[in-house]
Amino acid sequence: MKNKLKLLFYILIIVLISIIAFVGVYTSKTQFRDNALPKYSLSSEFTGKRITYLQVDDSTSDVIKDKDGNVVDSIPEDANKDDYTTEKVPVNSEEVLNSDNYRKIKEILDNRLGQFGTEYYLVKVDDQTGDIVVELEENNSTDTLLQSAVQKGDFSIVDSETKEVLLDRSHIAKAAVVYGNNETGAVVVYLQITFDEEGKEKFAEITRNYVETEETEDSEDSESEEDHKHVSIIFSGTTMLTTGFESEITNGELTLSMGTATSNSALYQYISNASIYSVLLNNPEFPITYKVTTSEYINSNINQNIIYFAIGAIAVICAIVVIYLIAKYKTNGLICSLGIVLEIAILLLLIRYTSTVISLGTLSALLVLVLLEAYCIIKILNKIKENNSYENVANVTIKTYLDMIDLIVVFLIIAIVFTFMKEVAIYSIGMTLFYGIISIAITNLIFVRGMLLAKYNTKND
Amino acid sequence: MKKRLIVLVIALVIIIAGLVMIFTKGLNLGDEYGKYTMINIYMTDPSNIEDVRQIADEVIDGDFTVSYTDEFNDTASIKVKSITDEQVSSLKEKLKAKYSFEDVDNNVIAINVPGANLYDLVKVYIAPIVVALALSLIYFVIAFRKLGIVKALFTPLITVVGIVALYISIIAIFRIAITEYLIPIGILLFILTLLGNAIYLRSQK
Repeated sequence: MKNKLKLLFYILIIVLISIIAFVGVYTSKTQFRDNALPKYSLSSEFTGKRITYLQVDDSTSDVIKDKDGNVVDSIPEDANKDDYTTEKVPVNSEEVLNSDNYRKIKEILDNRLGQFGTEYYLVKVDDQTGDIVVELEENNSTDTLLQSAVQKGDFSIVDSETKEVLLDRSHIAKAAVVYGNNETGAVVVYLQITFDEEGKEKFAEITRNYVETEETEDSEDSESEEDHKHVSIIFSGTTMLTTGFESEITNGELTLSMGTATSNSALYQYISNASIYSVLLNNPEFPITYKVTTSEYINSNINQNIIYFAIGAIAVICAIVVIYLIAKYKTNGLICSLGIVLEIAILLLLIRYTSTVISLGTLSALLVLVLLEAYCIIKILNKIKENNSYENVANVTIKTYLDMIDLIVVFLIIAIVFTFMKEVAIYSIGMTLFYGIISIAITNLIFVRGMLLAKYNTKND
Repeated sequence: MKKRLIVLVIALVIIIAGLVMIFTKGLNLGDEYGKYTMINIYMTDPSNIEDVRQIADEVIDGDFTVSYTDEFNDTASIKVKSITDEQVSSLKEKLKAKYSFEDVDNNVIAINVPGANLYDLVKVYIAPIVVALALSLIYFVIAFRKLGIVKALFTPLITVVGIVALYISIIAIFRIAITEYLIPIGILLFILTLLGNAIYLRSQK
């Protein structure tokens, strides 16, 4: 009687877990009945993606020259306008518009998006026209990533007055994000730009020439014009900063403060911004200027019918396995069939609670897990068939696992390698396999073993 | 032994035929990853997509798809393999008449989407597959060293590479369009073959 109750208890638990996993737990905290379980996280394959279309910028810009042929920003108000000429110059010259440069831009975009840590991206380029289409996953950071990735990425240190280029990005050896603490203990995030040997010397000279002298009352009148000289740091055509230097810098490192963080969210924000700059500086600049023509969120091609078809296919495979188990192993087969249902139920709960992203690959992983569990159960049932003693039934699960050790090791190798990849299409498979092996272990070591023992004891009571 | 040889020969023939197809005709990138034209229609209010479909049907000869691009149902997107400039102009005129667009060039934008590079589609899978395969092979060599290096190393290596090559060859020979579904199926075959090898070598031990 006790063992019958035990068996019933296991079955009830399995039914309960299965209902929770497959149907949900509905509460009515609001006027609507909501599922209290965390929602599944779906990859962009199921939801949709951002498709951005970039075209070569065919516009022109005005170039103003004075009578000596020097390029100036604008015509001074009090100047004679006849002394200046304005030319319309294409933003991209004819020479740069070629297939090699189009392909180079695709490569730069690929590298930038990869180094930003984008989970899904695809860059397509038309070698003839230079048209580029960028596909990205849609999330809160998509706009920032996109805006950053398509920047030209030019960098220069110029004289703030004369606009003379003092140092350009050809001398950058590397850029990195570094941290430090200020006197109050707050974390300061820096972008550290290291120059090559030649750049190091040039930068030292710049910092020597643009040292800010401290203003004192005595020196105020006698302060020379050079004391006020500043440099502008230009990035992607925008002035990041106009500043002087406190002293000469001889180590070839330009350290720019990106912000002082007083909270974790601020720290994350500053690190993200600094990382974007460092990625852009560590990759070459675009040889061509592009413009964004359109940027649209496009719904997924995968409709509900396809998802139902895939789930249906897995359900059919489960059903075939269950029928086979019941037909061949009778009651023991029926008991173990519940194990397959439970394994999927536990896996789905783990996927929900660990926010594992579901991609198309997840469905493949699910199928692998169903087959693995079926193989495991068949081995367990065969062992029981060979020797139906209490001792054998009690230890059969462990023995089966020991028999399958090679399979489990290879399985874990695949799961772990895939889990540590950064692309969602890969790590979603790895994580599903990993949680799957946990759910199979829980199912077989606790429930299948428990039910088989209870059934054995009931028979021998 | 004879049966095994026949299977092996058939598999080799398929792989060679597949390689010939790939080098001569390439793979069929299909609608998803091949070149196509996307025509975005920015409507001022949520509209019935069937009206857009009907207009597109009047203008476009070949196959096309129409879908909303957002949840507000005010932007539709027509995806078509090839369309002439005249057809785009005609489409714009009809859409202008239907939706009273003031500036149709702003409301209807045609974009030529270039085809994807096949390497871009598969490159993210190469590293994990190679690493997982290499680690598994190292494990096989250690765990099944008594079976000999040929069996422990080359049997799994040849079967995994063979199955993946067979899969790609079938896709190439039957001109199956590359879609997002094909790669997960390939991954499934890779995992199952590797696990199958673990079972086979264990049984041999």
